[in-house]
Amino acid sequence: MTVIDHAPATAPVSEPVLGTGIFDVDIHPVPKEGLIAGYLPERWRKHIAEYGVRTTNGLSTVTEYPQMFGGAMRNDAWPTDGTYPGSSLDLIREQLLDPYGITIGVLQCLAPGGQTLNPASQALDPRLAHVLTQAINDWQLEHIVYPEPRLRASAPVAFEAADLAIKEIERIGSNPGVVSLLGLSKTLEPLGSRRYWPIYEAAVAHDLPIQFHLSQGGGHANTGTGWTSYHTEYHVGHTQSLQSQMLSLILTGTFDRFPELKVMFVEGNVLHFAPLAERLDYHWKNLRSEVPDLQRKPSEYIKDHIWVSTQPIDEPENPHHLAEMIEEFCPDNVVFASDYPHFDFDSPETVFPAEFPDELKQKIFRDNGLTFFGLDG
Amino acid sequence: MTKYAVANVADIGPGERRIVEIEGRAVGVFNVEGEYYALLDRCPHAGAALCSFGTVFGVSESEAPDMPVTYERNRSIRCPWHAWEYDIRTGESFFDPRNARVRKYNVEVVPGSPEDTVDPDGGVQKGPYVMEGYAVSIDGDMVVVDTSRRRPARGPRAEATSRS
Repeated sequence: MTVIDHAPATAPVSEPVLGTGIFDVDIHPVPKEGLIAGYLPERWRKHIAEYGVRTTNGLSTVTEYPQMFGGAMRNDAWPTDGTYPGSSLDLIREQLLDPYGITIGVLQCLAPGGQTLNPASQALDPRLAHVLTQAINDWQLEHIVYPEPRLRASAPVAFEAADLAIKEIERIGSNPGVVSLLGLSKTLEPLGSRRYWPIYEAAVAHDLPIQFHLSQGGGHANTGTGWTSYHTEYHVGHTQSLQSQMLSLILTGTFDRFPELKVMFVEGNVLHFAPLAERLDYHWKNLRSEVPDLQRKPSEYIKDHIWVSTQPIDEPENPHHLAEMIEEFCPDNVVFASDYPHFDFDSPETVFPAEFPDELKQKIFRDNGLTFFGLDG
Repeated sequence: MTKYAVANVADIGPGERRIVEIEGRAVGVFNVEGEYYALLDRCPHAGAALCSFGTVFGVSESEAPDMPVTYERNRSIRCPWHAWEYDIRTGESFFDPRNARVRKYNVEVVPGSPEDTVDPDGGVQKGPYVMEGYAVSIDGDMVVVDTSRRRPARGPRAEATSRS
């Protein structure tokens, strides 16, 4: 395979240009066909060609996420040259960055490896997960981040193999083009499990927050009551995994252990987290003897440690309820996301109802992102 | 209230569409099996270019389980972003936000609402919203789009004028 537009790995990354621009923490780039192969060792290139990539859903070419009709892409995001949505930097600029004034866009690369939403880091062979995530990180820096100062990388790592994940964090964690680590909503064990603590330790040491993007895989049925029969059921059921992950991170004392750790749940809606946090406090009052070393009331961890992104935006029929529920969750911990180029894209121009408070909009579009990524506005 | 000739009949074949600019707005003109329809090229939901990139599709319906299923070809257009559905002939929306309600309550009828009430028992049904559309006719061999108000006028003033 030929690597085109090859830029040296040392190419400078410009300082973030913020001005009054906005954050978009969920943009999905896709490598042009054949491009990743150039970043892989020959041994693994051959392995993928001959055996594919087996992931935590046990299969190499079949996706657990049904249909993926039209690649789940916006109909208007297909480049005219026959390439895949998200593979053209020019089109990302033309359809997203330029028209909406996005000054910091964070890449969530969920391909390749398995299927969409079942990416490289879920490869069952941790060595394969490791080389694939390395290839993706080099590719996204050289092909997207270095040429486009408005875009930044979220780095996938082999999350189920902490030793390899740490290697990758040490390799690229200090690159100014990398602003976060990319984890997934579906993991072998709940995120508070001690198998992941070394990754959190390395993330904190490199000043990197972690974005957990909605995914398939993880090695379990997709809901707490087993496998779903319908695509609709599957799609709606995604939020369950993020709810479980939030409870696990808080109750295991992970945030007491790593007081600097910041996580963000990406593409899992916002509003449902609010009643969950309240219910958690309610039960903890009676049951707190079970977790006597927890240093704070459960919901208090949210403000310092847990962010969520807006997309797909909740659309309650009474438009005032959107702002009310965001206030209820934590108005400083919600950040705008577009999910470009996927079909359920949210436009910054129409994402919020007319009566949405300006002050809250400013926080979501800009201020909260600055806090999460530790950038200066 | 103006009629614009936008194309020759031969320019928009069956199954084809053309985006034209009328009074500063992009309008999609469709030829659906010889019938012409026109809608504003902007989805009322989130502003996507509905006509430029929307999918025209047929719809299956049944009165109840085990009852015959009817299929209507090319009935609707689906938005390229969130898949909101509109009747391609009338622009009527099939996404009814009132379905989420359990309690039955009085409904304010907006201009263009197909019925005076919305059945709260759910299911996909015509919602109260109608997106902007235009009357299209064939004048000689030209496709003509008429920007006159297509929705029935409502309210006291309309009643006063219609009684005359």
